[in-house]
Order: sequence, then C-alpha cells, then structure tokens
Amino acid sequence: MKLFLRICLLLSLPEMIYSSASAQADSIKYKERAAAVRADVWAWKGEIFAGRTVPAEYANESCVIMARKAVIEADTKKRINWALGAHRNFYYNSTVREMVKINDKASLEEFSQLSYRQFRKLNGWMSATSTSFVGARIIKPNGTMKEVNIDEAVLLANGRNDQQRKLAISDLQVGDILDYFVRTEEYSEYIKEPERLIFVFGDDHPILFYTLHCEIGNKYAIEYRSMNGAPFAKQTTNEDKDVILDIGMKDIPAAPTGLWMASMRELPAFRLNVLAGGTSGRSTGEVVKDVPLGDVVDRINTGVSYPDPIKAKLIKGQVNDILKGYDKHYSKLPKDSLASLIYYAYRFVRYYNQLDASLEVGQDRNETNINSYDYLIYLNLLLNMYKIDTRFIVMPYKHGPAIQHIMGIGDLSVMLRWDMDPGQGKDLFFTNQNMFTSLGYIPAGLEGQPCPEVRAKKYLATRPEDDKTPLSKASENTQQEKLQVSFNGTDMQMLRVKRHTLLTGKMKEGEQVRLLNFEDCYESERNALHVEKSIMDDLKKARKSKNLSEDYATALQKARASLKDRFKEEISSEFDPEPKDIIAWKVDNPGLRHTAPDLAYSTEFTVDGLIQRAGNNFLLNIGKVVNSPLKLTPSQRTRKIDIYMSYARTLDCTVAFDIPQGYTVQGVDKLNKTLDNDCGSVTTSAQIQGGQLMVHFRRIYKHDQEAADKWPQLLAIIDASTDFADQKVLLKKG
Amino acid sequence: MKLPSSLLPAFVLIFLRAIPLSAAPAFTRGDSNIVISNKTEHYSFEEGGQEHPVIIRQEHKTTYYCSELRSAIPWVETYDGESRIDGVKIYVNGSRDRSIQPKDEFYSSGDIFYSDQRVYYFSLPFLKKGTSNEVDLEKTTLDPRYFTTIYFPEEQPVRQKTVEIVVPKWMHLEIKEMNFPGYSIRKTHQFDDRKQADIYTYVITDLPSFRNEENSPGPSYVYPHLFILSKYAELKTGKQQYFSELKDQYAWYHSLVLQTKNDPAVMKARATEITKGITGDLDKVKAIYQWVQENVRYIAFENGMAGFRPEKAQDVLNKKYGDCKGMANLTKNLLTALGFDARLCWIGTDHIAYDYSTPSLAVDNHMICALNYKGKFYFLDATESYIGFGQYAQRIQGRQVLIENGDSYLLQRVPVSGYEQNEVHHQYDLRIEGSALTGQASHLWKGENKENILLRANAIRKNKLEEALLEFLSSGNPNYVMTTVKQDGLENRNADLSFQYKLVYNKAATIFDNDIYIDPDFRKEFGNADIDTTSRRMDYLFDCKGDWITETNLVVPAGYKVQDIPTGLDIQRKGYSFSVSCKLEGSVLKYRKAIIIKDVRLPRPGFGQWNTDVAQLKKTYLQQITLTRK
Repeated sequence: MKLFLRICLLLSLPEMIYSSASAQADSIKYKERAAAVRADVWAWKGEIFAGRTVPAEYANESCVIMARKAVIEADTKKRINWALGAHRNFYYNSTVREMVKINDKASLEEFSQLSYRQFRKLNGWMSATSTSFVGARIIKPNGTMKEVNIDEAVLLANGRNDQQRKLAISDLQVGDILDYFVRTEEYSEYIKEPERLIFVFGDDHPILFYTLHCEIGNKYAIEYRSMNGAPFAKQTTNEDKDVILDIGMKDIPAAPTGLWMASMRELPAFRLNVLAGGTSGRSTGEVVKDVPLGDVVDRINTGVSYPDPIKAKLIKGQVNDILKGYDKHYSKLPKDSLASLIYYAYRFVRYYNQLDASLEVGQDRNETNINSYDYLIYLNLLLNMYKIDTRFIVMPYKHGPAIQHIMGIGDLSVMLRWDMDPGQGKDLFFTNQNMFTSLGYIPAGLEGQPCPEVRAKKYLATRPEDDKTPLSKASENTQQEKLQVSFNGTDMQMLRVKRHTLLTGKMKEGEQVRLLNFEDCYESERNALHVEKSIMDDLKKARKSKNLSEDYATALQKARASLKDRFKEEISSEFDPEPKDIIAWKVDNPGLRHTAPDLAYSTEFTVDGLIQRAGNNFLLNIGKVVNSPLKLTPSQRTRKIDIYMSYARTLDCTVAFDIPQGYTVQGVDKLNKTLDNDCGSVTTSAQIQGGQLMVHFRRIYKHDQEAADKWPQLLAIIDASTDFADQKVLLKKG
Repeated sequence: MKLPSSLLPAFVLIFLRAIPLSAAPAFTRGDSNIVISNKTEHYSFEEGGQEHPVIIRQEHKTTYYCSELRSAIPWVETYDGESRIDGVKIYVNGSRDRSIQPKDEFYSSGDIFYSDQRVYYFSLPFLKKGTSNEVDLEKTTLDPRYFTTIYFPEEQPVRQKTVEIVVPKWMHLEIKEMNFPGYSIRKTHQFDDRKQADIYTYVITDLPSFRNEENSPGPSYVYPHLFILSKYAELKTGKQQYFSELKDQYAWYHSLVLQTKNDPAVMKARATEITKGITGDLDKVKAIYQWVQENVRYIAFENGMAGFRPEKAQDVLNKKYGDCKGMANLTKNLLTALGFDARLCWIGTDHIAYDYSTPSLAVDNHMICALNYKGKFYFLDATESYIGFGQYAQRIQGRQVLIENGDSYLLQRVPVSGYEQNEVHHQYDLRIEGSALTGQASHLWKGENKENILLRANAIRKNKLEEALLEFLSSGNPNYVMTTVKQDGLENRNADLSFQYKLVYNKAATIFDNDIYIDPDFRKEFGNADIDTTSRRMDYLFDCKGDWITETNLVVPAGYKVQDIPTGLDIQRKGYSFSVSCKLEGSVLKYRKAIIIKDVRLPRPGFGQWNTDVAQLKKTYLQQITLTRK
C-alpha cells in the first residue's frame, strides 16, 4: 500500500494533499529541513507513542494502530522558508504520525512501501509550493529501534514542478512496530484555498490512541464540529492568540465496513474547516463551533443568485425556440403542462442537443452529469420567467453527513421545488441526476432528507426545517420480471429464456445508463418536442462540418453495436450462471418522461447449468432461474450498526416454464412459502397451468434504513431468498 | 532482471491505459479505425566514441491513417540509460504540429518497484476521417548488447512496413528471423559498396496489431521479429567484443557479479543462526531457502547496469527486500557460508522463446541460485515465496540455466516436473441423513497449486483468514457446514497442504417421493473452461500442469437401491485427459474424477477439440446419482 495515499485517506482531504517539488529546489537545504522535521516529530512528547504492547483482544488482528497523531498548523507568521528565505506569508502544515504493530504478511505488504510527492509547485511561480517530508523507523520486538534511511527512496518523477519518490521500508518484518510520519508543508504568498478536513475515528484496523492537535493562526477562520459520538474538541489559545484545538479517542475497535453502511453517519468523526479569513464568508480570526446550517445555506445563496447573463440568454433563446416550435401558444398552456414542457425542452438543450469533439455517444455519454447548481439555476430562471414559482431547496446526501453535521456546500445537493397549489402540499420537484431524469423524479441518494429552502440572496426557512424530500416505498421501486423458459430445442440441459423486464422508480437509475442508446433517446426526445432538425441535419448542411457528420454517424453505429455487450452484462448481473448466448435484446420503453416513467426491455438468451440429468429424469433448479440472492459471509451475519440501503424495493418475478412432452413435474408444493416481518417479505407460489409450471417469487425490502436491532429480521428475508434459490423441481419421465 | 528496451513495445499496452488525456477524443487501439498505412524503420550501426564504441541510430517514419472517425491514439516510445531519444517530429493532417508537448516520465508498472526505463509519449489526434498523421522518430541505442530485437507488429494494424538495417563490414552480427511463417514478409539483401555495408531490407504487408490476451505465450513465441545477435566489431581502435559465443555473455555477467562485494562474516553469522540445531545437510539447505522466502520481500528493481548486477548479500539481508538477483545472491552466500557449493544462475523463464544457443541479453530475465550437492544440482528460486525445496515453478521448468563456474560456466536445464507435482485431491466419505450428506472430507494440494493457495492465504489479514479458508473450502455455500477442521502445511512450504473435517452438507440430497438425487461432485473443476474461439488469437497457456482428483464414496442407505449413476467419461488427449467413473462396490457408490493437464500449452488448432471435451465434461457434471426405495 502506498503509505502516502494512506495518510491522505486518514485525513480525508477533499483535495489531495499537495506535494512534490521544484526541480530547482536545493537538495541540501531539503535534507537539512527533512532532518529537522524528523527530529521534531520523533521528539513529540506524550504517552501515546510509548506503548509497545498489543492488548490481548487485538492479538489476532492483522495489525494494530498503536498510536496515531495528526497535527495541523496554519499561520502567517514571519519565518525563514527553507527554500525562499524570510517571508510573511501563508503557511499550512499537516503531519500525521502513526505507529503500527505488524502482525501478519498482509499488513507487512500494506505498510512496506511509502510513496510520496516530495515537491510540487502549486502555481506557475514559486509563490506557492508544497513540500513533503517523511520519516520511518522500525521498533523490533526486543525494543531496539532503527531509523529507515530515507535516502534509499527511488525517484519516480523528476519534473520541474513535480517530484515523486517511493521508499521500500527496509528491515520491516512481521512482529515489528513501524513508526512513520508524513509532513506536508505548504507555503503561499497569497491567501490560499481553504482546507476542509474530516478526521474519522475509525479504521479497518483497531486504534489504541488517536489524537489531533491543531494550531491555527488568527489570519485564518475556523469552523469545526464533532459528530456521530466523537468527543468535543478542547479549544484554547496560546500566547500568539493562535487557536488551539485538541481532541482524541482511545481504544477504537476496527470499524465494520462493507454491506449497507454509511460511514459518514455511523463513525465518530471530527470535521475542521481552515478558511482564508475574509474571503470565505468568515472574518479573520473567527472561530465557529458547530456551524449553523444557515451559514452554509447562505453561501449557496450567493451561488444561485447570480447566473451568468450571457449563458442565460443563450439558453433562453434555445429553449424558447423549442417551445415555439412545439406550440405557438405555449405560454397559454396550463401551468403544470408548461412546467413540464419547459423542463423537457431545457433538458434537451443541456443534455441531448450537444455535440462535443470527443463524439461520445456510447455509455459514457449516458453517464454525463452536469453540475446540479449550474443546471438548476438556469432552469429556475426559465420557470420563473413563466411565473412558475420554483424555489431552491438543499438536502444532504443519504449516505453523507446528516443535516445537523453539514459543514460546507459540498455536503448538500440541490433541487427546485414548486408548490403547485399553496397550502395543499402539492409539490413538484425538478432535479438533475443525468440525461434520463424525468420531471418530479427524486434521485435515490436524496430521498427522505431534510430540505430547507434557499431564497435568493437570503436563507429563509419559510417552511419547517423538518420538511423532507419524499421517501419512496417498496411498491414504487420495483423490478418486475416475466420469464418464459423452455428447453433450448432438443438440448435438455440448456434453457432458453425469453425475458421481459420492467423497472420502476429508483430501480431504473443504473440500468438506464447501461442499456439506453443515446441516438434512440435523442430521437425520442426530439420527436416528443417536435424539434424539426437534428444535430445531424445541421452538420450535413454545413460544408465545413461534413466530415464531422460522417464521423458522428460512425460513432452512432459503433455505440449501437455495443448494445449487445451491455445487455449481456446486465443479464450476467442478474443471473447465475451467466448466459451462454444472447439472442435478442430490445428497449421497449426508455422511461425518459414522467408520463411513461418505467424502463422496460426484453431480452432472450440461453443458459446452461440449471438442469441436471438423473437417468431419464431432470432436476430443474427453479430457484436460481428466479433469483440470484445476496451472499453473506459468516461474519456479516452478526451486526451492531444500523443498516443503510439505497431505497426500499420489490423484486417480483414470474416464471412460466414449458413442461416438455412426456414429463410431469414433482415438488411444486414445496415452492409455496410466505415470510413477512417488519423489514420485508418473501412470498413464493407455484402451480401447473396449461402445460406450464408457473412460479411466482416476490421479495420486498420494506425500508431503506433499519436499526441495527432489526438485522435478524432482515437476515431472515435474505435467508428465505437464499433458501428459495436452492429449490428444485423434478421433471419426471412418463 | 532488466528487460532490453527493444522488448518493451509489446508490454507498453498496460501503460497506455494510464495516460491522462482529458481533452482528447476517445482512444482507439488495435481496431480498424486508425491504421499505419506506411512505416519505415531504418537502423544503422555506426562507430561511436570511446565510451560507446558502437551505436545504433534509428530513424522511424510512421504514417497513420484514420479510416472511420476522428479519434486519438497514444504514441509511446521507451528508452533507458543505454539509449536516448534524439528527436520526434509530429505532423497532423500534413502540417507540423508543435503544440503537442510529449511527456517524458519513468516507466511504472504495478510489478516493478523501480525501473530506469522511461516513456516518451503523447496523444496523437486525428482531426477527421480520412486524414493522415505522421510521426518521425530519431533514437540512438548506445550499446549493441542492448539492441536485441526488432518487432514488426505495432499497436495499430500495419498496411506496409519497411525495416532496413545497415550493417557495416566491421560489425559482425547475426540476424535471426523469428516467427515469419504465416506473414507476408519479403526480404532483400544487398551490399552497398560505397558504404561498405550490408543492407538488409524487410518489407512487411498487412500485419495485425499487437494483442493482449491472458494466459498467452510471450511475444517472442508469437510475433514476427528479428533477433539481433551482435558478436563483435572490428574498429579502427581495435576489436570490440560483444557476444560471439555464450562464454562472452557469461564473461560479461561474471564480471558484473564480481563487482558485488559480499561479506562472508555477516553471512556466516546469520546462516549459523538460521540453522542452529539442524544437523542434516539438506535440512540446513531447506532452512536457509525457507528463511529467505519467508523474510525477504521480493521487489523488482531495474536500474541500468544494476539490472544485471546483484546487490550485496549483506545489504539484502539488512533491508529484508531485494530483486531476484539480490535474493539469489543472498541465498547463495548464506549457503556458501555453511560450506555448501552454491552458485548464481541466469535463466530465461518460459516467457522467452530463446535459449543460450543464441547468446543475447534477450535470452534471460531472471536469476536463481543453484546448489551443487553430491553431484546433483538443486535450484532455489526464493522469489517463489511459497514453493517447496526441490519443486520448480512451471515458468522455469525445463529452461536452460547458465550456472556460474568460476571463469567458465555450466549449462544445464531445470528439471521438468510431472503433473503429479501439482496434484489436487478431494476425498469425501459420506452417508445420507435426511436431505443432508454427512461424513468426512479431506483435501490435499501439492506443488504450485499449494503455492498458489499459500500465496493467497498470506495476502489475507489473519483475523479474516479462517473465514476465508472456510469460504474457500465450502465454495461459499452456506449449506456446506464444516466442524473439527484440521489443517497442515499452511505454514510449511515443504509439506503438502491438507485439510480434514467433518462435513454436514445440508440440502445436498434432493428427495422426491421414493427417490433421492445427489450430486457427487462439489467442485466441478474446468466445467466452464471453454475458450471463446471467436475472439482468441493465441495459444492458451495453463498456469501449471496438474491433476485434479475427486473421490466421493457414498454409502447407499439401507432400503434403497441405485437407480441411475452418471455415465462415465474417458477423454484422453495428448496434452490433457478427463475421466469420470461411478460404480457400486458393495453398499458404497464410488465416484472418481481425474482431470490431468499434462502440457500447459494448448495450441490454437486444438481449441475446437478442447471445447468439445469441456462440453462433455460439463454434461457429465450435470448428471446426478438417483437412489430409489426398494
């Protein structure tokens, strides 16, 4: 593992720690500074780096973080810069030192190399640089200590603005303690961009001591908060009036990771924003503990209040052209119809009617995502122009920090809300997920979240702050499968499956991106909006873009040719074993609009491995035809933390299996089962009908989130699905 | 060891994926969109200076054609301490484009900790369909020893390519034409009186691009190329010796090895400590070998001349990491400190088509240690972290090995192991209890199959290992419940790896009325091993030889008789065999399956037969035992 990267992850910096070096840097001075830094860090006082014994309960861990200390220093004092001499400018240093007991080869490998960017110029001049220093030493089980020779680091990049190195940690063995640090010193002549840090008091290894010490000079502004059960920071000042923050935790067990978890809502963490005072909505020296939500939302106000007038004019013109072409009297349409027309015309302009030099019209095009603020600000302008009184609302991400822990704009997403009939609670939402987002759609990651309203230039909670975005039900997010299954001709061990799939609600989010063909969607929307000319028409017409038109046509052909592979991928993700041959695939409804919102498609394929011969008879693994259940490891069967799924959902699958001539089916009665609890349900039924075995399977996860103590009930649903996947019926000859 | 840079183009495919080209059109590679309509490569041996008496100047002129749609391709050239790039000119749609700024970086790959190889690269944009771009390259190789191969294929399909090599009379070399059959290659040779040089010209037409396929033979087996054997040069300043014979190559290697000053006292102390209490000679050898495997991390360094010179043994000992040369040198010195006759060996793994009959730096890519004990050589490759003493990885089996022998050398071959070395054996003794199968299960892994499991097990965190092993044994099936699990060999490279446990396999018997249906094979190796013949172009290489045996003994319950059993299968091919049998012996049904891979190379013409045989195997796997009530 690249330790430097590891350090970055520990700090969870939104932007990577800048590092590396100027090629002109004086290596002697660098070495002198590096030696001074090492002497400084190794001399850190305190009990946390004194321990050498791993508690018995962690003896079987791959490694144990015996101690971790992070120090953040930011000041503007005059000092001697090792490269540039004396300056009074902005200095920002971050140091993370970690002492790790290596207990096995997996951890030995993880900690055996240290990659870092030694120097980096942060701008075109030498007015902003970042320099990293590292140190490492090995403490052997007998207590002897040996410093790793940093000069053994090899050079990976040696550019003028960027110097990267990698160090193999010598003499590191299982049983040793590795004590290492990375310090990054940033210098800037000018006020620098703010740092936003999250210190998560959890790791996939246990941590015995974790402390954080911050010394922030009074030219900066500071915001901070503890969340999810982290202790409160102790705030003091020193004689220079620097703000000192100290926080720490002890005996932090290895954090659970993986299935259905939201780390930002479940693990203790300390958040710290070091801001450039005077330029970030905070004055110099201001210290704000537990930033009020209103402060953050006020910063959004600025963003949404000043759209670019030139861009606005251009977009307005393009959208109005479409509106006029659609209906000369469009402005007289009922407001809800007009809102819908404007929304889809705008979406067409921003997402569809664009052609860039990359000619990307395949799956990557489907994944294009315009920044939501940029997208909605102009949509808001358009809607407001026609007296559709949409308002900005902001909400946290379902798996990000909770609303009470918001520390910056990046923690929030944004939507437009139109109160269609004031007082009646009839809201219409305008959102921006991607080019397939239909009117009123709430993306899965934003549903059920508190959504304060943002008024231009001023935050006003005109509606209760506990207002939430709508939360969908399991019945709204469905995967409906209808499978017509038969033997593949005379091959009694190969099944031929004709499948019709309908995805509603959130279930369609991923598959639209995977399965829809841009050209088809483009034409569908162009026709729906009565747009006469396509991009191709314009390209063909203009002599200078004739070649572009031909290239574009070729790119569209290639994108269409890729659909078979994309459908094969989709089928493989649903069925185990994987399909053998893909015979047919077709999108029946793309689900682009709220008037026909569901994604429907049909596929036909063959699959083997689900029929086993037993003399003259056959065993059909009907359970696997129906569903491919979630597999849990034994350790996942116990759980102490809450469950965060994406959304409530329903899988509803009907199979009609053609019973071959001369065979009867046994074991049908075993397929009728029902389980229903607080978290979900599994209902299965089967019968013989007109020469077919009809099997119905329905599994419901009732909620998107469950408390930890509900895990046994959720487990029961998973187990019932797994049990059904093992179900077989016998096709008996005669 | 260090790869000569002329070998690299075949491998830079991996690197290309990492080139950031945010503003450029989407890449195309190897498809029909961008082709090389014409390329000329001119190589000329010339007299150099005192430091580099003979140099090779290269001039490449490549014309690309965009046939379908605008795009961009990565253009890459590699060089190192023994070569330099003198200049690159880029022409886009007929005009010199100076706005394209090539990048020059160290080559990096996940497998290599450090390499002095550098990549010189840029994105070459094609403005529209029907346009041509040209790239002219001038490059110099500073030492003929490092100029080993000229590969004909490129990253794009080639319509026509001309390779011209100018060899002055004073330069003595041999050009070997490799893998020419099946390609359209025309060769001419003439002597230029004015230059007093032989001029060899190869014109190649309609050449497919390089292709990256998993489990393929190395490029020297597959692609048409010239293998350049530089022997010596008769210069005005005197004779410059390269590799006329193997003894020349050995002499050069040996001179580099002699530059490594090992410390016998340090070696003696550590070797004594490692073997303390051990009396048998071979037990001491095993202890040393295992200590190096266990304690020294393999890290690949490729650094100029250091790519051929081992690091000092005491430095490797101190650092606890090293490359193959460092590990071999440490192993050798620990053994010699104990009085054993241990030596360094150079070897080309099975990735390389050549052997030492053609002396060249392209012949070998690895270093190991040989132990000469009682007249027999044992080979110790400590980079194979979990293989046992006396066992050899497929990649070195049967390969020629150049063994140091003072001023002379020995040439031997690493022994070839049979498939039995890598046996995997599963044994189940079961009875039926309700819908469960219960009884005893045991598993055995040997050789490289064992090594592979040990490698994976040691990469798992120890607090997750037990769960991972149980998941591995049960194939992730929660109905497969194991108790009283005993294992042996997980910590011992020189023992087989085995597991024994009591098994309750729930729901393994399917019961309908009077019949019980049972699947006798829980692992079904190679059941999905069919090869996609529509896309694969190269022969397939299995990871290793081996035999996979499953024996299931099932007690037929009282009151039941055997109604149906899987029909047997007996497929015997030259390189592999599949056999399955099931028979009743007394009251026990005995199922036995043996899959043997005798030859790791499955040639492309054999894919059809292989797929047919795998389909038969799969059909056999999908048969059940039927027991019916009497």
